[in-house]
Amino acid sequence: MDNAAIREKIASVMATILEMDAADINDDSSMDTIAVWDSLKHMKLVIALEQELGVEFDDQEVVELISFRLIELAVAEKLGG
Amino acid sequence: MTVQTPYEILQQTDPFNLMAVETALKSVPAEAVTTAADIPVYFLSNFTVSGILPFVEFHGLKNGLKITARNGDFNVLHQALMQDKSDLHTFAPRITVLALNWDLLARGGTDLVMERVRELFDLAASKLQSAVVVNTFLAPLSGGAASVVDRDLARAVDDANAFVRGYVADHSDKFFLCDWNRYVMNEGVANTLDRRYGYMAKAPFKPAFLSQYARDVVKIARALSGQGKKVLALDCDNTLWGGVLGEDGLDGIQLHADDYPGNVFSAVQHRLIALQSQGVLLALCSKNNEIDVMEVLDTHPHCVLKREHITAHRINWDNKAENLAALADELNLGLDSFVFVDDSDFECDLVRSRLPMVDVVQVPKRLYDYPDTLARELDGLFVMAGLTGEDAKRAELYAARAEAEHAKAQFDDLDSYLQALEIEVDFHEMQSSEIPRVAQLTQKTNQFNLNKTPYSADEIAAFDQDPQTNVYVLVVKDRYGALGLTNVCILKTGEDGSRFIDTYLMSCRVFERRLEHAFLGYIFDDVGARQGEVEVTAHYRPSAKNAVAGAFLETAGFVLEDEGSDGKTYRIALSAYVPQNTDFIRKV
Repeated sequence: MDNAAIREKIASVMATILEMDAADINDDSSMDTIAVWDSLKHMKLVIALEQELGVEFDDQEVVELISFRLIELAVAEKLGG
Repeated sequence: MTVQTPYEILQQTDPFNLMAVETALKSVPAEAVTTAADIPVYFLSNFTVSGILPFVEFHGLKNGLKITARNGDFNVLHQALMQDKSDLHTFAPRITVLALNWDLLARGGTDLVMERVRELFDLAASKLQSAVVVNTFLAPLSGGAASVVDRDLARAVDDANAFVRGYVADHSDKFFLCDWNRYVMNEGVANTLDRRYGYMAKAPFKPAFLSQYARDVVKIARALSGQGKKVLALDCDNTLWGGVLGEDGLDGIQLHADDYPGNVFSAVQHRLIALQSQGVLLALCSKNNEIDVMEVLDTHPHCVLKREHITAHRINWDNKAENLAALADELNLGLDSFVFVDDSDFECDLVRSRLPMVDVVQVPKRLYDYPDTLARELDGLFVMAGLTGEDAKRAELYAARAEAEHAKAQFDDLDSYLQALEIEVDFHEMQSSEIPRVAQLTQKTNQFNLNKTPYSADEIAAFDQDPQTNVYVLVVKDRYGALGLTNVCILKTGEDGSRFIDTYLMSCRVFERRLEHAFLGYIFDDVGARQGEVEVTAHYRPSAKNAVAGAFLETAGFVLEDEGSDGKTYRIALSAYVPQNTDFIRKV
């Protein structure tokens, strides 16, 4: 998967789980800017990202996945090695 | 790109993938697959259970049910149950799932678990009008019975599970069991248990676990709304035995319990017999010569499945979709109560596409997986709402009735046939021992039911206590044996003393005997003796299946008074009742 495909995938998972339009998701989207992104939604988001991208996040990593940009970086690191 | 139907979308969605399930829910509106009323389901738990909600909704839609699921606050169980105004009671669920994890219950000592569980179950039994779904506790992963370290824990879990199973069996009119250990065994520890979120957020289960759990809850919802599966229709060649009977012959098919793959089919046959003894009706639907198949059932030394286990069959060279429809007709059941098992891609696809309401289980290509696959799939489909003593006899009754259908052909006219049936009925007001059966009939009778209103056993018991309401029943037998409690009438009283038929239903096992007329005659006699001349109203709410009940009212002399979107209201004065010839029925 190239970077664009990964970005698109992450945006689509975020849009579905956080019940918003994928077009409204950008680098600035974060727990601070998206009101419905609470701790339960966060858990759903992590589980959906793991299933969709075939990655796993540990206890340290999951608490850092709090914005689109941070998720993208963490996923790229996992997939890119 | 071809546009998928809602049904195809739901079928092709990976049920264990959260994103796929959420996406399917967004693309399939409930109205596209169901017209039935919402079923409210409430989860009360001592762990973070909210992750299950999309899976419950998804499996609901897949089964034609719109389920509105909701969960209570973490570990607020007693309060929710005890306070009349709690979110739980306000929500008024049809099903309450008491989802209990071991960890918190065992805090302070494993010896406390059983008492805590009993207290919660008793509270649920007394405070809830809804069905209650409980679960087994997961066996400890490390150690087990042979381990020194975990021996006491393993025993405590075993004891608690024995208690849970016993409690459910003793309260079978209200309690249902989900076996959590099966979910882990089916999909493996790594796919089902989330240690990370278990410790971080008290959410110990992964989607593969939650989805199986949700599927079980939906299965119970389906049974409670009268749409449970009742019939298992089986192919024969490479489904009941290995090989093709027409080519390999009686001696060539594989069924020996000591040889592979005969032992696989032998295991499957034992499983089928166990299901049959629990009230599942077995039918054969096979492309074969009938006489050859019957010879296997009657004479094959290793065929444990016998002719008497089979309620009905269509063994011929016709299309299987049509044969299944013919079986449904013969058994007086809807096709949506059928599950079909076959090894052939062609037959499975045919039935899936032609009869989407039939569940299809295909024999797996890796034959050694067949018994497990069958067990897993069928466990997900068959359940009874309160396993009553009658259920165990149900298969027997249907077999006797199939024989009676056969006998019917020998008589020239219907009345002499009915005369020869030697029907005896016991008409009375419901006794308390009959409450579970009456509740069950209100839940699952779809055809002869004027205004289907499913009631719980508690609700029926309340009618029994209400002096303004009479619950009449009919217990029937004929020359072929006992047919059990088959007719129910719940008759309420209006402020002016007039009567209203809240429920009037008849089990399809006694159709075509004019018992609906006899029953109404007895009821009107009883009402007349108590009150003299009085008006009786009835409401007929048409459904896809109950036209037979509507026609009955008009035959009996009821007059249509009002017609609205919710159905038709009829009225009759006792004296205007038009009796039918029911002289062949002996009232005892």
